[in-house]
Amino acid sequence: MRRFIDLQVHWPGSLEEAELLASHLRKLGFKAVALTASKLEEAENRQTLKKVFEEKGVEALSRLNLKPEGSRQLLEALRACRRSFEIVSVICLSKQVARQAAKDHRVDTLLFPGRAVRLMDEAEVELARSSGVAFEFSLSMLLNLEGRLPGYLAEAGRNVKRALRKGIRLVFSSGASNIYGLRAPRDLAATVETLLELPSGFGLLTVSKFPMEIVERNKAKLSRAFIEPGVRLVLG
Amino acid sequence: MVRVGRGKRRYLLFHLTTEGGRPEAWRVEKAVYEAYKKLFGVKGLSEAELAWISYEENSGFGILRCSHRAVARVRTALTLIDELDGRKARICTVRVSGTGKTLKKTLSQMKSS
Repeated sequence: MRRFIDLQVHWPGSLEEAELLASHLRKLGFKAVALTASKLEEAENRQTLKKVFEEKGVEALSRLNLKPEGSRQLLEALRACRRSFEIVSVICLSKQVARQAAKDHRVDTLLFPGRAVRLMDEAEVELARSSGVAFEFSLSMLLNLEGRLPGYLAEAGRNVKRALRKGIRLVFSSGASNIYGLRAPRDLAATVETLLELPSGFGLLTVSKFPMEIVERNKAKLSRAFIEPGVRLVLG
Repeated sequence: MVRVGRGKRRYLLFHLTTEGGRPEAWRVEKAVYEAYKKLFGVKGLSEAELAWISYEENSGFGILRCSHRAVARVRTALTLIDELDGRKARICTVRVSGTGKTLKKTLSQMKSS
């Protein structure tokens, strides 16, 4: 059975908000969610939140969205925070950051908001392919574009086609900051498929298989048994 | 059996969630048509054969009909609606079916549970 995951939902401000989010996500058919913080301190209450979501039948993961101004800042943030979060994404606003993030295997997904979509060029795709970084789009990001959406989709569509030919994984999330920003997984799949003109059935992979693979890989990496890629401690 | 002259149709059961009270049916209908037209144009709207079947203001459930080729497009248009009547809103597709009868059955089951 397909397991749907919303890879980007804002970190809830209170336990009541978390409960509400969890029940809505469950109703919509999600099995897991990545709660997104913008800094390390925001995620202090993660264990309590995880329990709240677990009670509703939704697995909660922690995610950090980095928005560095330069590659040095990015490297420092990755060194400090990587092992504290299950998912780490980078919002690419400059070429320098985009290139550094694409070649760093500690980064899971790359986001290109607004005009930064032009940074998803051939060189970026090549770097992302070698490090296994996925490209991500979110519904909230698309909705924020308003009048600039047609231009963005034209550029993104071209770049995504190039990326898919090279085997880059694509992830689509809601980016919701409250319950009104959430959508059903099949609606998200239909949206990304229609707007980016993806092959039929591919949209479902962007909300289930691809993000789940990232989560499983990172869970294994964060476990105590992990030594290095390909080497795992087998406990007797 | 499909009548000659028209293609296969699909019925979509959707649910509206809004901040505060639920808007009137005509406002929801207008928002859906506007969202579809904004995305795919007048020609796209005519090809989709979009039809408003029903909407219950109390529960927020409604049924739409469209051509089977336009299901993904209708879903996209519904997904991109984030505001209704100046209030935050969300429209999610609950189920897609080939007949309206099945959806009505699903709806009554959902209400009773």
